[in-house]
Amino acid sequence: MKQPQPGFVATPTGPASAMVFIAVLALPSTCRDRYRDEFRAELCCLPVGRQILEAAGLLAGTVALRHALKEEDMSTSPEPARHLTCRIGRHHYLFIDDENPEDRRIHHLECRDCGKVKDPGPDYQPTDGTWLAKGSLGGW
Amino acid sequence: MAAGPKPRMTLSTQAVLRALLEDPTVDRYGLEVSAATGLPSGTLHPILARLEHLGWVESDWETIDPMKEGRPRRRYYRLTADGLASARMAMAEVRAERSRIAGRYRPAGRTPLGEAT
Repeated sequence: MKQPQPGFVATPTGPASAMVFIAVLALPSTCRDRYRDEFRAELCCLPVGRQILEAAGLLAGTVALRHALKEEDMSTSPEPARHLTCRIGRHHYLFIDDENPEDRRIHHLECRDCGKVKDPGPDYQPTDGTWLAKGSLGGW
Repeated sequence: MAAGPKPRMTLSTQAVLRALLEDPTVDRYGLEVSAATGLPSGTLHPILARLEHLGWVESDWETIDPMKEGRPRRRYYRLTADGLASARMAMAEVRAERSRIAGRYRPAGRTPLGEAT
């Protein structure tokens, strides 16, 4: 192995760097820098052919790594997993009574899957029979 | 003491723990563990990430001057004190389970290899 020249920091070859770049893109944004630096540091001391092989291995394992890192996020995050349709903004809103004794017609929209609350908006004119009391949603 | 959550003790996880248990005082970076276990980097890093999350393993950046050394800083992994105890216990459980299974399929009257008759 060649002695390092002073002031020169070794880097992986272009293809290996590119593969590391792509591999870390799939990781959660909070971990990307760490793993990019770690992978590059490991690869730069290998012979060129081996660098590409190892980088390809990293690329192949990036989904598993992402999964492992996501498990961490999920176990530390207080938020429960969201329904798939809610993730893409397709909520299943239901009219929920606000249980206001002064005006029984006041209500809001609430997603049955994730509980997201939506204001019906100023244009909405409540009419009798279009809303449901919370207790009456059981059979729907 | 080690009673917290455990990783799935797959063969790969066992290999990583065995490599780290070989000399728990020595810090190793990814490629070293990879060489010791024979696992490709793509398999190794998810296992290390899980072990790190469980608190069995901790990692730190190497404290070198990259300009002086001519290479970037590596990330070194080591077993934590809790991780050491947990890993030893988990590996002992794996060995016990393995010998229990081996004993089930051993012909009657035969003693396991290496045991005195």
